[in-house]
Amino acid sequence: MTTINYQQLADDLDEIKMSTLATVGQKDANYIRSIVRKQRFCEIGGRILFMLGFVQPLLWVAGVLLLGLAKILDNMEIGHNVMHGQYDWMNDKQLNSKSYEWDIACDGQSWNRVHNFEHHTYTNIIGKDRDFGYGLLRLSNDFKWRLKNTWQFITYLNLSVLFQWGVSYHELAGERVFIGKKKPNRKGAVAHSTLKKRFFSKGARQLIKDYVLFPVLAGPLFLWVLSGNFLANLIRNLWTSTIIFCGHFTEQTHTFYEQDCKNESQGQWYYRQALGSSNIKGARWFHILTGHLSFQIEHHLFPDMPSSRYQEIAPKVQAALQKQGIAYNTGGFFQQYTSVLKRILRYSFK
Amino acid sequence: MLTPVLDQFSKWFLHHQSFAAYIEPIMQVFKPGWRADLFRAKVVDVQALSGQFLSISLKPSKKWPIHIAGQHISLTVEANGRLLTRVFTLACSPAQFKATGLLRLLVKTDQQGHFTSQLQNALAVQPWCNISLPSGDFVFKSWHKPSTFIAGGSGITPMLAMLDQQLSNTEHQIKLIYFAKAGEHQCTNELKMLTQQYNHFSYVMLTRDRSPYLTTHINTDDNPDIYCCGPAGFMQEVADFTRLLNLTYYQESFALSMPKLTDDNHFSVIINKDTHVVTSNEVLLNQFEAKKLPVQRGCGIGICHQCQCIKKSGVVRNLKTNQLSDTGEQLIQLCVSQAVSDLELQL
Repeated sequence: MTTINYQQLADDLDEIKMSTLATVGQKDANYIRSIVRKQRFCEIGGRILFMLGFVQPLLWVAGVLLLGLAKILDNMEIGHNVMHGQYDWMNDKQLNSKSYEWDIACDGQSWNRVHNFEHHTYTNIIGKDRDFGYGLLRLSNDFKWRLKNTWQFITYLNLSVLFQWGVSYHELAGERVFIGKKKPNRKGAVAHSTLKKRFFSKGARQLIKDYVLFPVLAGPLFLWVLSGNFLANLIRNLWTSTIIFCGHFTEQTHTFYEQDCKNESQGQWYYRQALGSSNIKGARWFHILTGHLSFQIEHHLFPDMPSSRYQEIAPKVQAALQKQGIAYNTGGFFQQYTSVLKRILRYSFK
Repeated sequence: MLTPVLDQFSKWFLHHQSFAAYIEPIMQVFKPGWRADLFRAKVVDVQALSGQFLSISLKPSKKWPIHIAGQHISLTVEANGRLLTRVFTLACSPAQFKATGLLRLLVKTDQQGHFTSQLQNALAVQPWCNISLPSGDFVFKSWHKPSTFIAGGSGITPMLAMLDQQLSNTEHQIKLIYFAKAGEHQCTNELKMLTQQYNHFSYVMLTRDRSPYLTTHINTDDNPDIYCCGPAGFMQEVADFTRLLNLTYYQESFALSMPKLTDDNHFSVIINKDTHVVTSNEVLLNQFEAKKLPVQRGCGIGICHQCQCIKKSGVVRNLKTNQLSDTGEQLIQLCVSQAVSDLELQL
């Protein structure tokens, strides 16, 4: 660690950032708008195909896949990245971090606080970044082993199935809104009453939309629509959970301590971001479906750079890290996912 | 009936402010440039005139309501992926619009400006742009007494619209005093034709260096109403003069005066209708926190966007990129923003 020239690292990565941002423009605007357009076609197409399930069940299957795809695009490539402020420069009223709200149970403002601020500022700092293990899983020796960790693989599976609700409840759990004693290091930015109101309001609207309103509007096709919505949500939950775990919890991702990060320089901050993340190799369509979180290292280094640029800068980032002898953790999907599963299992036990 | 229901449905379940906003990406497949909260306008003609002026002809969609002479619109164009919006006064009367179906804008371009420097190129590649509803109260009110119009540079635009609209509605004297740089007076043929058509209209074309006093040509004996549009200092001089002589005065501001940046500049910031003073030697977030304004601090280093707010007008410098913002509406991060001009913000 002492051989790393942090100033050089910061200079190199800043140069990548500035030279890339200088070229951001029409191409990037066209890209995100085309993704939003595809998302709309998938969402509307999927809901229409549900209704044709009684004619040909395969159409219903196609509807499930299309709606699942729409939710994945909305949550990952559009919602996550737009809410990070990556496309604020477009001045588009529909695509900016101030106003965008996504098709998921989690209230966007809550996610912004916990994810954009807490996770991206204090990435993998034990005790500061609640995303590390989500307060449910023991993923390093930094946490004391407890009996419940023995069955944490089951906990992980449950979290994946219900992922949107996990994300939705994340801030409330950290603030101990319903249960538990408030931790002394947490300074809640929002009143508990507001947190509860927004949690129930957003969650209820998502439930009503997918499990009451659209099924009722379908009349005799109630069950076709209800079950289609359920499966589309499940597909989205499993996909987003899997991609996010691959980006954060492979065996190679490092943890850090608060005292080591005090007064850290830009270079040290970059170093922490790089080692706290893992990439996933794949084809272009795969990267789009992950919201380019398959380039988690690049995302953590430059969280407000348009995601459309992560693939382009990845070789330069890798070279800058290699120059300082810093690992660039990447691998195929199955390699990274196996590594995640091993880590969950490994820390289930003392 | 259906629209409010769909809009409420969209707010609750589709997470968009209106149904139109939700379907905007689909509508754009069939109608390029269509935007939920703006009117679409086809760019029919863009002509470069003397003095770096552009004459722009736009054909708005049929739903666009008719304006009153002297009113302005906001023009939104997409330049390199960025939606840029500026306010311009229409340089055509409602009668001219009805006759041709076209709106005319006269825009003075500035190569240093974020917007007008890109305008000609942007309109050359984007056949569609967007305009807002007409608004503004700089309209003619002097049917029963003489009036004098004083225009500086591109401040001629509302005057052109008002003259065409109102000369036939009044018999009282209307005089135009038109200042511009030498060789940069616009629409001189139109003005000449109006003098031939209406005996009660006259005009003088002046340049500042040859006629240093703006108010020399005002005939104060007639006690005219004064309408003025031009640069800030220009209008201030006329306003002071009219106040002295107790003349009725109307003005239209169209330009932001940009002081040179030094570390000790003080600027006024309007936030939710309250005015505050800030300095340029400290980021806005720190100053707002000290004033106990309802701002939210996040990372403090321009990453998390927690402190983001809407800048309605004015210029800030982004300390991360060292770039100046546009003058128009956009999102800014307070923790890395330094005031460079007076600002209006929405927290």
